[in-house]
Amino acid sequence: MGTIRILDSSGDTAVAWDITDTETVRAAEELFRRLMVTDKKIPFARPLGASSDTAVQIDEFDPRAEEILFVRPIAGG
Amino acid sequence: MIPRLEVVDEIDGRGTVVSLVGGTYDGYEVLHIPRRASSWRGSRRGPLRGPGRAPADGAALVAAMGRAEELLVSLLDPGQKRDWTRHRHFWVSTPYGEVELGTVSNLTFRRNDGRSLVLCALPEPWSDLPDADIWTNLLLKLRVSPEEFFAVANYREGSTWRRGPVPVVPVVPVVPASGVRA
Repeated sequence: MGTIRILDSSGDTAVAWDITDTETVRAAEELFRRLMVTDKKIPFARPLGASSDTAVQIDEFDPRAEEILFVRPIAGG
Repeated sequence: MIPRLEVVDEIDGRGTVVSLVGGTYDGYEVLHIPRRASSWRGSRRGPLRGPGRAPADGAALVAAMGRAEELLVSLLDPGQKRDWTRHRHFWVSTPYGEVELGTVSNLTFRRNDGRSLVLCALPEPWSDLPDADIWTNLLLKLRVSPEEFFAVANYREGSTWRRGPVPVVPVVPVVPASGVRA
């Protein structure tokens, strides 16, 4: 089971997929692509609950990922 | 014009969410933290939220803050967790020095050469995010792609703000003393 967490005004919105269920994997992959390409959000993968030291920026959906965090681009304030 | 304040919600142990009525920031909601309960420094003492974008009710706001807090804490190492719990800020190591996260628009950057700068970088957009989500966003960028962070952050040394990129000192690899003769 993997989860996409998208940072937003509710804290984050989580969408889960089950690697044995192709329908949920396909839906998660579509969401991943839309968030990255259309919404320009940035995905980081990490083992579930691991500190930021283990996080890696990814550019393709990996159904084996335990958790994918989508953050926003940053700009000078 | 001085805005009128309307109490939206009381958050145990944190403060009071108030809505600004009138003035430049009409419609914004601010978390007012009593001085004795606050460890915030700088100009922003609580989350500012744009009108219509924050959770509509106090319970949703509290839930959002709690969820963001849980996610941020899960990303911190033990030392960062301790600092965050005690002081509401923590340091992030990068190849160019350490950056302190915890006060919006006022991030202390201790460069490797000992020089200190103040940085400002935010998620785009940021005003609808709970504060902890802002730190999660900046933490991941700093840890995983610090070059991108320093390329866009604005900075000041002294009183004048300057646009990024932030001047960083290149990392100098430690060269083994192979030329030293016995």
